[in-house]
Amino acid sequence: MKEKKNQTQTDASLEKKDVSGPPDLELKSMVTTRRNFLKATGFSMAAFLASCSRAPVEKAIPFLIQPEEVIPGKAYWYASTSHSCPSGCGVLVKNRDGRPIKIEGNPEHPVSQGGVCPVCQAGILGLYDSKRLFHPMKNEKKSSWENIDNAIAGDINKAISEKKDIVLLTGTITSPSTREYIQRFLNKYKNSFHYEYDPVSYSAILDAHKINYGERILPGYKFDKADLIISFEADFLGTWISPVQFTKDYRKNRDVSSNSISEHIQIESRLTITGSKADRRVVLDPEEIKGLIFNIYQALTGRSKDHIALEFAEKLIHNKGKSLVISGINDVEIQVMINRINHHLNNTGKTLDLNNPSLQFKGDDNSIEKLFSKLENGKVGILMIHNVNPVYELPNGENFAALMKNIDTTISFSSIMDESTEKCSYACPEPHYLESWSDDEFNSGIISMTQPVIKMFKDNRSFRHSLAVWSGSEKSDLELIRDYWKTGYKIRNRGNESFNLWWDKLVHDGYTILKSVEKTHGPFTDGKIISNTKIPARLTLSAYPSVQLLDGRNSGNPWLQELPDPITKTTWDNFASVSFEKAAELDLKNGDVVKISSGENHVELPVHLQAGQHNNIIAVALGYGRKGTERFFDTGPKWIQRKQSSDKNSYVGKNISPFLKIFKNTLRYSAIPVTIEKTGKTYNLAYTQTYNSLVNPENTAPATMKVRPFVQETEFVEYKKDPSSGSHTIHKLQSMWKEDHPYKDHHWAMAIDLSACTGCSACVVSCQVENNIPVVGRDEVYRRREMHWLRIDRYYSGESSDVDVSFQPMLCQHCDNAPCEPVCPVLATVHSSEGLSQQIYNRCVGTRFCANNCPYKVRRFNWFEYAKKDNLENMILNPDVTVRSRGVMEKCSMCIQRIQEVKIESKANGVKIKDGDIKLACEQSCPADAIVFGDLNDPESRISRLSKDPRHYHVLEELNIRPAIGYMTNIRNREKIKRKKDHG
Amino acid sequence: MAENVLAIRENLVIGEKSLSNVTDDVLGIMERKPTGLWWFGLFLSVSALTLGIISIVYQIRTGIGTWGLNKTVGWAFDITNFVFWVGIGHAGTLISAILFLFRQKWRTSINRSAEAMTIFAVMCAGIFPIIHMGRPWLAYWVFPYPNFRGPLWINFRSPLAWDVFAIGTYFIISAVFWYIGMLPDLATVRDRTKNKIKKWIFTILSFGWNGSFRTWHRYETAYGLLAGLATPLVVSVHTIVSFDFATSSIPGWHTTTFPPYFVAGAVFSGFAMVLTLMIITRKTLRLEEYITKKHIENMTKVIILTGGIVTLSYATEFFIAWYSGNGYEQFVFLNRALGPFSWAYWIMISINLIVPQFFWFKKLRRNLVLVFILSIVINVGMWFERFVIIVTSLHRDYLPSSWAMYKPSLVEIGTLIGSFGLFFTLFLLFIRFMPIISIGEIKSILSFKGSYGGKK
Repeated sequence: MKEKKNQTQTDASLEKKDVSGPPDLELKSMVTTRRNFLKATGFSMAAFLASCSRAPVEKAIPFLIQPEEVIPGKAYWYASTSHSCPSGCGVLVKNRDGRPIKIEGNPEHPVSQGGVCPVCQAGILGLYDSKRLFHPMKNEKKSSWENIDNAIAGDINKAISEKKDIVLLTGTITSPSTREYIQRFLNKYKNSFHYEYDPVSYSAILDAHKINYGERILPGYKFDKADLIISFEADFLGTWISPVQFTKDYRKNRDVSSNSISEHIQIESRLTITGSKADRRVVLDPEEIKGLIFNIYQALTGRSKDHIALEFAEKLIHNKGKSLVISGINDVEIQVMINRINHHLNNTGKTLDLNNPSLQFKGDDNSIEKLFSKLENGKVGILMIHNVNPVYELPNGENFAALMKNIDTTISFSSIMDESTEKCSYACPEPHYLESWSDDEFNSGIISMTQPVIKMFKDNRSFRHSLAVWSGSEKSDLELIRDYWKTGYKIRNRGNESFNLWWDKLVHDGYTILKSVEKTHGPFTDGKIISNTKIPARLTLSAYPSVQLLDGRNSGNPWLQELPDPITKTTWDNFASVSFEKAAELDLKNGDVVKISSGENHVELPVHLQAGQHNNIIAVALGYGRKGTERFFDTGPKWIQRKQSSDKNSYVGKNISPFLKIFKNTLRYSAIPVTIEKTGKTYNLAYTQTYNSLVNPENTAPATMKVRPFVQETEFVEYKKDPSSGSHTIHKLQSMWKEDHPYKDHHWAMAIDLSACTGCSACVVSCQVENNIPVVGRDEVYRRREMHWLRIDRYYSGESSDVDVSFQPMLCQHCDNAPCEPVCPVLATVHSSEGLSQQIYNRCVGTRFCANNCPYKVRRFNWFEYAKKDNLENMILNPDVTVRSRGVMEKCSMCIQRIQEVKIESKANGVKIKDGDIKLACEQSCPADAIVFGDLNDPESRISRLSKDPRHYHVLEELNIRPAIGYMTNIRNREKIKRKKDHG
Repeated sequence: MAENVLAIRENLVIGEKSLSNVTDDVLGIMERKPTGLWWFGLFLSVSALTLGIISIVYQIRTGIGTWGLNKTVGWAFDITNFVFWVGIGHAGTLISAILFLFRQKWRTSINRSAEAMTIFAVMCAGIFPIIHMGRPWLAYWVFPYPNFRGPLWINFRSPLAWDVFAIGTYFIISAVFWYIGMLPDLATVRDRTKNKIKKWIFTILSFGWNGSFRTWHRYETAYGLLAGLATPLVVSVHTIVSFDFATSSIPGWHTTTFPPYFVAGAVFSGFAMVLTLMIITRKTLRLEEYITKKHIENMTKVIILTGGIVTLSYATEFFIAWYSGNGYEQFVFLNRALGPFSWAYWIMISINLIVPQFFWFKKLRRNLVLVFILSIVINVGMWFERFVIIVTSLHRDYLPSSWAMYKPSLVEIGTLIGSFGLFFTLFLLFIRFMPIISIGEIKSILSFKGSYGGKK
């Protein structure tokens, strides 16, 4: 890490030099030879916008004149901020030879703390998306910014003269400077309006705080401070608000070595990864959940008779001031009740921070209705759409599209041709965040910096820049941001450094902490009295953001499309998730296509049978069926028996947004009454795991082994009594052979904490990006040929709604007695002197004996030539890792390239490798810090300590193959429950 | 009369053949114009072969993804076919080498064609290890030879490397044994033919055979030595093939009983295949007097024995799985019998267990139509045995997360059909262009009376 920092330090100091010119020393020593002249030219060009990469000049210069910071073959890192989702995690971008190839978490970033999610990992591919819009367009024809600006200036004047409104429709604006320029734009054009909404809305929480505290606030949740977490439908480890930050915080209070850990109760209607990790999970349908929240509040104030509510209330009172009650339901009444509960428990200010709120979501669902009424009046002359896709996302998107036709000028800033952009007269595409500047305040007081890490590919312009241009500015995007902060930082700065120093540090670190703009919220008021009306049980739809696609903004990303859903293990589709009981009632089987109807809306989706789900709901993921996914129709190898995933023009999955309802001023994602009917059609979903339990199938289960002992679990109380509780029999392993593999220098190993792992799958994508793992397409996944080196096995204890879920990341176990190694006839897989099982692609002839003989089935075979010929997309490939050809076996290499890089450096510098110097791709990205890699020969290393921990065990230890990957027993904080015989 | 001479034993060749009758009968097949039936057979075989070639070319051009394999099931049709064809070969070697050493005279009418069958079966088998590779163009890497890559040697610990030697040795010894045995007959063809080109070809092929005492003496010595060399191969080849599975760590494969189990299975299926071929051959080429019901009966008896060993092996596997107390092992066997591939298992069991029992009855043994049908059924059963061993062990092994199903693709089915096409094409060409019965040897077992003059 230090190395990286120094690297960027020079970049930052270059930035400084830029202001004062190259240092004297350099100039004095210069005799103007041709070489020196070129050097000087190169230097000054390199110094200009130093934090950019690849000779950040207007014209690319070949490496003959090498830009200062680029050392061929050596990676360098830039701090930046992810914009792949609205959470805004701090990232480090790895550049090699001038191009960004990997995103990792910035460990120093105060919010994301070094973790990243799969979406963020995959987001880098968007930069190399050849289907991106690279030029401004007018009426779908390529144009230049000059022409566009002139035309739009004319349109603005026309709108003003016709006294028509100018409407800016955006997602949450997190950039203070953008907000400033929007304000200037609004000030300049009097009849202009700004509406903000979020596709996945948290409006109810904000509105509830308006009611209770007089201010729309999305509080900062402090999971690390909470000893008791009760979450109602909030998937805070998966998709809710800021999952990476929450996972990091959640873990802090779940350290099993301490005397107490937090207790987490999840009340939900569909199974989420958060629910899977919960100590206790209660399955209720959304209406019942609402009732329970009311009952708990009443129990707290002494008026309820509901026994669950009383029990929870008792727990909450016991943890007064140290508990956190949250709800993910976008319903103001529920959120007001949540606020009342938290207020009643004195949690506000302790586990909920109203003074330093989250600014990730500020959207207001009211604005949707306001916007519609404005559009319906026909008063809008110009509509600008930024960072949202209303035609796709809004429940009445079709109406919106129809209304858009009446508007003279419609402008989209989207960088992909989505449903809304398609209907716009102008496309003013924004650049990818990795090629642009931005400043964002995702969390009050923390400014996250986004810097370009590569020269802008073509002709994009940021929203901020466009607005400023249309308001009459002639400055560049960077100047706009700097201008804003020159005054902004003076007001909010904590020290008195000079602006340039402050700025350099901001760019270098990727973040800075300023005084937060304090929202002076009022004292708590109860708000109006809300009565809990009971609604009879009925079949309802729950639309949810999936861990992979969220609201669908990244649906054009093949990595995310092929990432198995952490719970269902499906890829490349959304589906109607139905509980087993309900399916039996309706006579549905996995893969039956059903028609879901609600009023005028119909959608046909394949059924997926889901354990842990309430019988009264059908859960469908948002974000599918989006324009741009038609490109995937022929993804994957072409051969006679392949099945194409879709027709040429159809999308991946189906859009469920039309089913959403705006009810009592908020966008409702659940409790939408629907009817369901069988169509008689079937559709095969592409699963990566089809047997979902460690319990052997009933008819073939031997008497000696009902359940396979691969996941060890215990309860916290038991663990405290006996640290080895949960362990199965300890095997006395003996060997016929001499111990003749001493592993003299290093003995690499890994430990994975099953208690920590949330199944979020960040590691899976991280591994895919790092190791050039191909995307194989829907049909190949269906044929069980996905290529992921690292997968997360997910096991249920049964099929009922009350299931336990365990996650187990599974990758090459690098066995010391690896079964794969002796069977290869050509020695293509061999053991290294450092304990790694290595695959030599060049030598592999592809007999697949190794894969057959692998007890963990972690080897992946190149059934076809999977490498693609998309030159732009291929720029993402990691030059340190071979792109495998057809017919060879591959598997996890323990990121051998990362190990080698550190080893070479330590050898060159004569410094011993310290524990933690080598971070594998999976380990680095894990938001739960579940993965620890290190050297068993170093007695001080974390891995050495962990491998002696009583919780540590190996999967299939009894085979005496001595895997290098150990697992730590999963510990749940709950009463010891009598394990049923069929428990997994 | 013959009955007086050999009252207790049936004559091995009936019809009171004279020495010249034998020569005429056997070589007459080569001299006559082929029948319509032969042409029809050849047409079918070549069509199947063509389908196989198309499948293999397509597969090599496109990738093994054109097979139905997946991350969990890495072998299925390919190695099933391989083991199946190697197994078929075993009967030929057993007949020609072991029965020779035990002086089983009844082998003489069938040993030539049984050995030819061995060679063709091994050729069919040999295709699969090559084409099942991801990069078959690098198949030569499995041979140890001095090279400039280090030099980089093969992995002598790998059962697949042993396979290379086992199959290689087997093919070479079998081919040499077969060819040496054919020398006297090739010389007979040379001497009889009037066609100049044919004479020229057979002159070369017969290696200057002159029928002298010394030639015969050396021939007999060489033949005996080769029989001695080939004998251990009957046991070793399938033993080594079984090591592919027995040395692995996968439950259902990791079994010490595999070598005898596989050898017995190989002989079992091989004799069934010999029966199939012989019944067709004797009928279509009118060789009923040489390949008699006695021969058929003898072979069915071998099938009873080897079928019994196979059945015992199935029982032993189940017993050991239970006795071991190893849950994974027990699961695999329960899964074979009751899991998703139980249909394949029950095909295997019902055929391999029940079919040989028919042969306890003389009446049934002598009913050639029944024997013919059952011989084919046995080979279906034995093909499924290999399929069951390979696929059911893999598809549900240790980690339930990786459990998967397997379904063959069209290309795999085409390749299987193609291997039968190759086998029958070669066999049809063989019976047309080579002496299919060892004339020299058969003359030695003629009944006394017939051998001198006899019926003209």
